Order: sequence, then structure tokens, then C-alpha cells
Amino acid sequence: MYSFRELQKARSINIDGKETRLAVLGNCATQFFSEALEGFGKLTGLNLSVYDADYNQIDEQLLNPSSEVFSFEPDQILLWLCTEILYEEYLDREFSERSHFAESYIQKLEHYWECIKRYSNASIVQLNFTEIDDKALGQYSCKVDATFVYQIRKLNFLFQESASKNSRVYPVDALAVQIDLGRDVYFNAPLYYNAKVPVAINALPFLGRAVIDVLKSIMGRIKKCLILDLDNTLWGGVIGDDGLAGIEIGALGKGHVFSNLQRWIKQLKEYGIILAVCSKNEEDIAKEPFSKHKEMILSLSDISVFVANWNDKATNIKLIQESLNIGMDSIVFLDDNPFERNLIREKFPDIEVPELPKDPSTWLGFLQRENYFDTVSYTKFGSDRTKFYQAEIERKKLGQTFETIDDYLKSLGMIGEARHFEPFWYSRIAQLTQRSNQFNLRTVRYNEDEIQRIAEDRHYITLYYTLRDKFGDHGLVSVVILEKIANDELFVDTWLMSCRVLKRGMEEFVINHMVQTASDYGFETISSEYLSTTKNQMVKDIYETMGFSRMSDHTFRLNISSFQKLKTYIQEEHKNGEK
Amino acid sequence: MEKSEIFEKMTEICRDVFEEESLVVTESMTAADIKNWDSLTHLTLVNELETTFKVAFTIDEVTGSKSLGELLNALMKHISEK
Repeated sequence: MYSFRELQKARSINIDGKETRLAVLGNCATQFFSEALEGFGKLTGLNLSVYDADYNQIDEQLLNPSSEVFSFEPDQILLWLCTEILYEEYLDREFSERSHFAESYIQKLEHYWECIKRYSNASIVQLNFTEIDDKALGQYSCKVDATFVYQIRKLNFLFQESASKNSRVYPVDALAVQIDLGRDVYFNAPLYYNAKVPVAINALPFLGRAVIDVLKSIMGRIKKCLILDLDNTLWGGVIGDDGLAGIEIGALGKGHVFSNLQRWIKQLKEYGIILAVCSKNEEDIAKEPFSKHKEMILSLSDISVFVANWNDKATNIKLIQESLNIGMDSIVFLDDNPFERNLIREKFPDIEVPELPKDPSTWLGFLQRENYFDTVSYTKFGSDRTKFYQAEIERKKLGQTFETIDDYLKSLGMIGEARHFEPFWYSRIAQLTQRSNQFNLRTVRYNEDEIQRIAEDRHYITLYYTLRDKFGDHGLVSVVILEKIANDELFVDTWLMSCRVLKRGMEEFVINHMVQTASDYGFETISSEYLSTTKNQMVKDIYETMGFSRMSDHTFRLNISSFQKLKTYIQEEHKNGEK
Repeated sequence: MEKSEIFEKMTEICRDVFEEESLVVTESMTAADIKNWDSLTHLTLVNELETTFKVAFTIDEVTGSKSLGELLNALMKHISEK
């Protein structure tokens, strides 16, 4: 972990790329914290600017729409209500009122969130509450609702409930940081009483990291795939040597270690992380534990891509990455073998390769502390992803039997459908704006709240596209947001597409439909823009390919009346009563 | 650890915290003598000394030490008690 001084010094690093503006507001002295955040952001490659409001300025700043915080035009506003101050406020209340403390405090918090929503588009980064137990009734406090420990725990619970209903709010688990470090490391009494700084200077980098993890996720820097080695990683022993009965997995002894690791990994899959296997093995032997061992937790149906052969792992990981069509930087690679780890780090520096400790029983705790899978969205659609990728491999097999790509595309029987944004899909649409990097023309990230606002705003035409074929349903694969910038002109604010459906005619289908829609609404021109990032080079010329004229290096224009419909094998779904 | 050795280490820390590479320090120096010595860098300095020498200052030592000599004395006391 970086030291606080390293973070302070890192603030002067220059980072290219889009600036992120973060305003920090607290009921305590936040200056050191803000410095740590800015430094940590820079060291993580974020072009982060932090505005630190003075000590205890929350009400003044949030109730006034022209305050410094709102004038700063932050992308995020961080709220830090430290428990130490809360505790003093709690004790200053009448004894009889203390059992309502958590409920009244959550209302205060929600009021702050409302103010932010009213006066700004900023996301809200909210720290939860570290626990302090004053042992007023000893351990009996746990069952007396007026005690502080009862109320602070209740407040954390109410915060979770309230945040889960508010898409603008991103939680930072400060409590987890304190639990991890221990209260004595997290809190330094002289520092608090001297300067109202409620976190020890040496603990600030850990709290800072938790916040930066959230900011990274908001900016779409998230992990999507976990690639797993097998022998001595998912089970103890070597399947090829020890055989099915000899490997360690299951309730007994060291097998328990690997079972719990698998339980955790299975859960990641359920939350939408793609699992892949990369093992030096004979494929049928490597698959044997998955299909035959009674105590294996993971099954073959959990694994999207299974690669077991004797090629070097770098080649195999490249293969996995290409077949999933995701960025190297969204992959975590788990392997017990330091040689393989170093090889992959060397070949693909963007892949996250945990330096697993020697003792496998400590891996799970280690991986959890490293917090690789921070995210800012979760939808129930995630867990279906494995099936998508497995169907994708079937499609590829079919593709190999056709002479021409056209024959293949025709044989898929693809049906596309377009609809305006609907509440049911808001979270999935927001998630796509946050996760799509490659086929994303302007890489504008939206949260669910903003998607709703745009959907309801008459200045926008919103469209989402779904695609299915004879192998299955791809679900929502493309999002278009058109902004009415003149009576006769639309601007493509957002066009993104899932790379899963690339080069199947979906690009053409979307453009055909987009132009038709614009024409139906009476528009004459569509203007568009490509904003370059390190990841979206694949679409830098797409507007031109689709028939737009290039106006400048990165801007394009289409005259609707001269548009020639593009060729695609995707049929449009016709709904009753709809065109 | 000898006092001179501790003071040498302390000098290094002061140069880092006050961000002045060639800073020459004496025990009598106070915030008035060093440009970047304010209430916040004072706390950073205290934390760097605590972390480097693995000691913990009391609140009186943190607030009461106005000169580098006073900080050094507090530091010496804690090191000798270890």
C-alpha cells in the first residue's frame, strides 16, 4: 500500500484523459483525506481533481445551489459523516430521543441526496458508518435500542436499504476498511482531538483506495472475467497424476479450502463475472472433475470458455480474450504457479494477476481484500452471460461449415427489435453505458437516474435494440440516444453496441432503423461524433462506413434524404399495432 | 539509538514533509522559521516520526511541541521507554 506521503506527492502527477471532478464534504476535517484521494486517483491513472469543502460545511454547501461545491461542477460529490461526530450528536440528544437516532439520521442523509439531485448531476459517493461501541450497557447494549451501538448498526442497515433504492448513490464501505485494519489502526485519538481528523494518517490510504475503487467502477474500469488455472488452484493436487480420487476437494482437510474458493467463484459467476479455464492438461482429463467428482462446486455449465491443452498460457489467454471479445484490462488471472503468473504479467501487463500467497488457505481472504470485482451496477441479466458465450461457441462451429459469411448470416435467422427506453430496462441500459468500451462512439457513462431523465425528456429520442437468432436470445445489444439539437437536426449523443454481435449486420440494422426513426419524426439531418479513447479505435471510421459524410477529424453528418438503406440479414420484428 | 542519529533521521523527515531538499534544521527552530510548517504539516511530521520510530505521541506532546527540539525530546523519551 502507498504511504500517505506518497499519495500527497502524487497529486502533482499529470494524467491525460478525461478529467473527473470530485467534491468532498464531511462533518469532520477532510483535507488530508482529499489529498489522499487525489494522489491515489493519479497513481491509478485517473485524471482526478478534488475540491475539498471546509470543515463541516455540508448544510451551507448543499442548501445553496450556487455554493462552491455546485459551482465546481463535480462529477461526484462525496459525503463523509464520521461516526465520532455522530456519537457526540447522539449523546447531546435527550435520553428519550436516542432510540430514534438512526431513523432521523437517515432522513437527514436522504435530504442531502435530494439537494444534490436538485442542484447537480453529480453522482453521490456516500461513506457508510464505522462502528464504535461505547459499552454503555456492556454487551447487553446489543439488545437495547437506545444504545449507540444498536443505533449505528441500524443506521448502516437503513443506509443500505435507502441506497439500494437510489441509483444516484454509490456506497463506500468505510466500515469494512475499519474492520480490516482494526479500530486501533484506523483511529488515532490525538489526531482526532487535535484536528478533528477521524482516521489515522496511515489508514487514509486504505480508505482512499476504497473510494478510488468506486470511482474506477463509475468510469467503467471493471473486471468482467476470471480465468482459472485448475491443478493446485481450483483443487489440491494434479488431476493427471493423482486421479479423480486423489485430488483435494470437498469437506475434508485441505479440500475444504478449495471448496470454499470454488463457492466464492461460483457466486462471482452468479453476479455476472465470466469464468474461463486455462489449464495445461489433456482436455478430457481436465474436464473429469467437473463432470464426475461429486464434491466439485463448479460445473462445466459455469465455465464460458474451457481451454485445456499444452500450448503456452499466453497463447491460450489471448484465445480466451478474443473469443469473449473483452479488454485485457477486464481480466483477472488466477494461477498458483509463479512462472505462469510472471509470463502473463510480462505478456499482458493490463491483466490483473493476483500474487497469491504460498498457503492456499489464505487465498480467499487475500482475493477478497484485494477487491478486484468492484462494480456500480448489478442486474439479473448478468448471470445469463455464460449461456451467451456457450451459444457463441456453437455459432462459431456452425460458421465454419459455410462457404461464405453471407450464407452463414442468412442461416442464423436473426430477428432484431427496436424500442424506446422503458423503465424495465433502465438499469441494464445504464449498465451498458458503463461497461461498453470498444463499440462506444462517445463513451458517455450514465447512471440509472440519468437514463430515466433522458428517457422522459422530450429533447431526446431513445432507442434500444435486441437481437435473437436460432441459437438463443442476445438480449439488449445496442443503445442509441438521439438529441434534438435543432428543429430539423438530431445529434447522436450515444451509440454503443455489445461486441458479442459485431459483424453480423447489427451495425447496419441499427443505422437503418435510426435513420428511419429520424425521418418519421420529420428530421432532415443526423450529425454525429466519434470521441477517441484507447479502447474504441475499432469504430473510428464506422460513421463513414455507414454512409455519413466526414465533416472534420471526428464529426460526421448524414443527409437523411440521400441515405441508401444498408444491407443486413437481420429481419425487423413487427409488433401488433407498431410499425 | 544516539541522539545525533535520531536528529539526522529527523532532518531527513523534515526535508521531506516541509518539501525543502536543502533545509538545514536546528533544535530551536519553530513554525516561524520554516515556510511550510503549518498546522497540517505539523501533524504530517508527527505521523512520519511516529511511523519511522514506531512510537506514539501523547496529545500534549503533539500540541505542546512548538520547536523541533521539543519534538526531539518527546521522541527520545518514547524511544528510551521502549
